[in-house]
Amino acid sequence: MSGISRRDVIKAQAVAAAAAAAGLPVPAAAQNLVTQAHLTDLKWSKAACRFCGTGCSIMVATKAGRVVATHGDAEAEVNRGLNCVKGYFLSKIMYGNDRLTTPLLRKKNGKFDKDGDFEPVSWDEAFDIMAEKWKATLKAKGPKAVGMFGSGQWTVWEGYAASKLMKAGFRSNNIDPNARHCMASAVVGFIRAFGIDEPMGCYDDFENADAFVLWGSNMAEMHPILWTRIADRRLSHPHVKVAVLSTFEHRSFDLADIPGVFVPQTDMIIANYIANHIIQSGAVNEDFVSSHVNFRKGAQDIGYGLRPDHPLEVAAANAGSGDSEPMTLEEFAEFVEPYTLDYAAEKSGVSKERLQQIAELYADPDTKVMSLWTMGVNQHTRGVWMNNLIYNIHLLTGKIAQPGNSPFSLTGQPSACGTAREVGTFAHRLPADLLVANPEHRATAEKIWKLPSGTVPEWIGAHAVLQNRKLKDGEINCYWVQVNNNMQAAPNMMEEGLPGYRNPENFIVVSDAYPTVTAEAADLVLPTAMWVEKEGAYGNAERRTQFWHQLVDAPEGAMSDLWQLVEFSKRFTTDEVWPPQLLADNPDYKGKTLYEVLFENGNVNAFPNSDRAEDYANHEADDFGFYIQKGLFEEYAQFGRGHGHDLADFDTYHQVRGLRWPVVDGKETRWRYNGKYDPYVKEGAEFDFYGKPDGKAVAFALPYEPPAESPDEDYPFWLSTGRVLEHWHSGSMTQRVPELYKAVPDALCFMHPDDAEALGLRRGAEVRIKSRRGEILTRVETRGRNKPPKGLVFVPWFDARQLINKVTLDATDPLSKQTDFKKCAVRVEAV
Amino acid sequence: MNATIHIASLLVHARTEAVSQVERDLLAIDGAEIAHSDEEGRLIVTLETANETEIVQALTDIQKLSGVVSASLVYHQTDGAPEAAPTSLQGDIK
Repeated sequence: MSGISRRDVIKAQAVAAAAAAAGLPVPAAAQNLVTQAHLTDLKWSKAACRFCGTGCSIMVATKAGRVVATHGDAEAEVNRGLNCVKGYFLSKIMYGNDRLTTPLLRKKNGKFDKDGDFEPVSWDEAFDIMAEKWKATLKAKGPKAVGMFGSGQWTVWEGYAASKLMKAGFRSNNIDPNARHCMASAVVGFIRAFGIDEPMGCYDDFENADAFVLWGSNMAEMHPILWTRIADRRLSHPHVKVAVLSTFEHRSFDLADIPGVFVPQTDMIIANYIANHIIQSGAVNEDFVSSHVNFRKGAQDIGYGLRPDHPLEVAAANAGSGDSEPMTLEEFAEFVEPYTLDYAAEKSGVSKERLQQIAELYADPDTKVMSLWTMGVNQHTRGVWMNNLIYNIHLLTGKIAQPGNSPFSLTGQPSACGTAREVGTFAHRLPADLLVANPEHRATAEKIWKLPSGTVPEWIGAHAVLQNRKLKDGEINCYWVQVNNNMQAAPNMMEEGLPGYRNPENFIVVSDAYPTVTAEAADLVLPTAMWVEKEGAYGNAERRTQFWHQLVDAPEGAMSDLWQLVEFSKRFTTDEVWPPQLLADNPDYKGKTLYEVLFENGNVNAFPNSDRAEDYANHEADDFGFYIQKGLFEEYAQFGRGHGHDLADFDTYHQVRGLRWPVVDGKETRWRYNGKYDPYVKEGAEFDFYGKPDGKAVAFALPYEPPAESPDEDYPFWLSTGRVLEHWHSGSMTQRVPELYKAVPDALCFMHPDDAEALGLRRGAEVRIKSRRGEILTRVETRGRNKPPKGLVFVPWFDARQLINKVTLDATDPLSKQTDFKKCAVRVEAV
Repeated sequence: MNATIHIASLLVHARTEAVSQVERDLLAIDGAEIAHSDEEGRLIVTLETANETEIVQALTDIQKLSGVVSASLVYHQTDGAPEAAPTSLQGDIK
């Protein structure tokens, strides 16, 4: 071994990984050294990335109980060995020096006091006070007074266990995930148009499309690995075109052949113009439309999801209505006729030439088009409508559910699809698209869960924004937040969020790995194990379910969300929380703990610990005495198998780099609704939108309606909020990675240089951003990566010291209840 | 002697006509070596640095080089003693 250093071996491994990522042969010099891998003594395992919804697979190396190396997983179809800068530093998120390792309770004189300071307590004392508060509240006010706020960052089984504990244990549907802020409009759009949630296509569309149209998305920063795939396609195929539509210029514009900066909310006009162009130019795919599409006219003037006494809600003719009535293609054509090129250009501010170029991409039958969107479309007071307007374009042209022809709703969180949507942790949902309001669906859940009929309540629980309102109003009094930082993330913090958490009537519990803004606002903080400190599963934006093993131990004292949920269930008996009649009718359930009826039910505890992989630890399975993750997953999978949501068996997912559901006979499905690829399409049919009873998708006639708040004399600027590449969401993890923190330490107010000059502001000057609801101090940036047009400012929300959600408005889409974080009116003042 | 080092690899896409210029510019970056380079503009670059900040800086510098279309991090490994953990961050909820 003389002459070969550890360093050479590491370098050779680095080269081999890069070669694999590029599809290149490993250079000979490196090849010889890789075989000496024992010199570095690392144990390599796969894991899904902890951040966005792309779902990159990461190879993680551990040594002496610590993660020491990561690289993009070359065997993964999603990222093919690549990593973005956040994924690159992923291992460091676990090692911030303020990791929480003991429960913290607000105390004065040795006992709980809402106005006390945080003091360390044992897990026993933490669960004692929690159970005491829950029991008192359930007794006094019933299940509607307890609530839970979870996340698209829960692992699949954590979200499932939480949903079961809330909906069947406490019999409360007041559980919602932060995916409500992120994906709810996409979900309602899918259900309205196709009857089943989640995209019909997949990432293979990137290599098959001739054109990409970004609707309000900045993929270059928010989905960088997918952007790499688009860039590769564009650079290696000169005929490929990229169109980027946004309310301000950003990094994705670097690759844009057709850039377009539009006035906020006029995306609706652009989409209707494109539909009109398709019809007027004779580009409707008549065969496809007549066989596979119904047309419906949606209710209009539907309000803004504000409190019911808000003047905008009072004034709305059909507040909250998702009603629609059938119409013909001819009537639809008439409906979109006013959306002419002239009108669209005048209202949107995008030139006629560019609008027409984009419309032609869709209209040309020989151009395969992928539409991509995330928060620009979803965080929108007409977000559901915008989703529907994009589907309209693809349905009119038949450019859907085929390789490269793909309306593709991107995802913001690693398991917004896998956990929040598929498990159904929303206030109105059960697993596999089932609904709490449907008696047959509740019966299905009760049967699978082996619970008495009538256990799951029929009422729709409070959604995210409504939960904050109900906390403020004292209607929800016990509240548990897991894996998210909603005080920082939710809108209108000063008027709705903070008053609710600090309401003296309420007891707020926050589970997190770090002392976030939300934890600071809580009464009890539970220290939580994260990512590869536990066995996990996520589901990404292309329906791909991915697993990982526990690779390291959590710091002593920190426990996973799963452990917390299941352990807490031991503190309750059915007699304490279920109504006497339910127990009188089902005496077998009397006197049992919730743990026994929910988790020792013969399903969840069906698999012994001997089923586990030998070389990986599993803290939860050790503690409960059975392979709890497998039991939860296999029980959950019963909901979807045979119903278009089929998942493979548990063990398979530990072997593969994920599979895209429905997985039928061991085979994943890449393009749903397409007879060539999807086993659920009825025999002989080319396409079958089987989520709808007649197999037809729905195009909706929906007009432009104005935003809830627009700039005026007092508040002359649009405010849009969002992310930056280096930080993920509220920054609670990425701000603790020194390199990412140093790269982008503080949020900034991005504005046009002319606007800054008119206000007498120099670059770097401190400013106050003020709305009718609150204000923050920040600094001006006029030359950064984001270049707003005149009249608009952009402020990212990752920075806990500059909480832009003090300023935002809690207007939501009235159908999806998702907040519009992209539009409110502010003024900018020199300090 | 056992100071921490960081070894990383990057995959760089360069415009084909600019490959030789990109190679020269890359070699001018401290700690950078070229393990592979081809006529399709694909380069594999390794970095050896004393800390991760230098990796991020080098990545940024490479992305800004004329002729570079994209630069992605692929692999990273720390060897030697672990680094000090990041500092605490206090939120402003008042």
